[in-house]
Amino acid sequence: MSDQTEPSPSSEQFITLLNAAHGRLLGFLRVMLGNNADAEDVLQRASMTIWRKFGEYDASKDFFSWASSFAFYEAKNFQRVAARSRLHFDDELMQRLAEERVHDLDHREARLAAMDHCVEELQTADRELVREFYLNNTEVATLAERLGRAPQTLYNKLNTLRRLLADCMKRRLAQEART
Amino acid sequence: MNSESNPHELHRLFTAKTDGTITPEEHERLSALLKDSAEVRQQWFAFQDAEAALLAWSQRETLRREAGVDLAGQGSEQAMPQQNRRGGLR
Repeated sequence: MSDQTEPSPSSEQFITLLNAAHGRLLGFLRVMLGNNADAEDVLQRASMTIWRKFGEYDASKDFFSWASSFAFYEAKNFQRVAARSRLHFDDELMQRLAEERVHDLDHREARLAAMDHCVEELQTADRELVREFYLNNTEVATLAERLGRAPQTLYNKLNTLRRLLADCMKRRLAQEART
Repeated sequence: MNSESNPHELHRLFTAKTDGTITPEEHERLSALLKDSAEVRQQWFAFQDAEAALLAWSQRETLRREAGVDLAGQGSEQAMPQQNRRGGLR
C-alpha cells in the first residue's frame, strides 16, 4: 500500500481556484492590513478556512467573491490580535475598505501592467535601488550601510522614487483611459 | 483635524503605514483621511497595487538574472513571499 495520497478532484479544483484568485485576494487584504507580509500571513490562514469550507462552495458562483468573505474575517481576527502591539485600522474602516476594494480590484491588473512599464523607465542605478529595497526585505539602515550612504538620505531617495513611479503609473492609466 | 490633505502628505502616510514606521498620530490622521474621502481610499488602493507591482517586478527581475529566463509579464506575487520591512527610519 502506498503512503502517498492522490489529490482528490475537489482538492485539485480548490488549488486551481485558489491559485487563480491568489493575486486578487492578496490585493484585497493589502488595503486593509497595509503591507504585503501581513496580507500573505492572513491569506495563508484564510486558505485553511476556505479549504475547510470548500464543500459548501457553489461552483456556479464566483470563487473570489465567496472566498473573500473568509479572508475578510481572518483579517479582522488578525487585527484583533495585532491590536495589542501594533497600529491598525478599526472595524468600521476595514469594512468600508473591503466593500470598495472588491469593485476597485477590476483596475488592479492595469495598474500592475502600467507599473511594469514605469519601473523600466528608471535609470539603472535607481532601478537597482528599488529592486534591492523590495526584494531583499532589507531594512533601510542595513541597505544604507552596505551602499555607504546615510540612512535618511537613502530613505528619502527611495520614497522620491516611489512617488515618481506612482505618478508615472497614474499618468499611464490616464493616457490609456483616453485612448 | 483638518480633513484636507495634499498628495505629498498622503504619500508620506501611505509609505509609513506600509513600511511599519508610522507613528500613532500619523496613523490617526491616515485613518481619518481614509474614512472621510472616497478619493483618498481610491488612492490608497492604487498605492497598494503599485507596491505589489514593484515587489513582483523585483522578484521577476532577480529570477531573470539568476536563471537567465525571461519572466516578463508573468505575475509572480505568490512565488516569493516577503516579510515586512520593520524598523525603518523615523
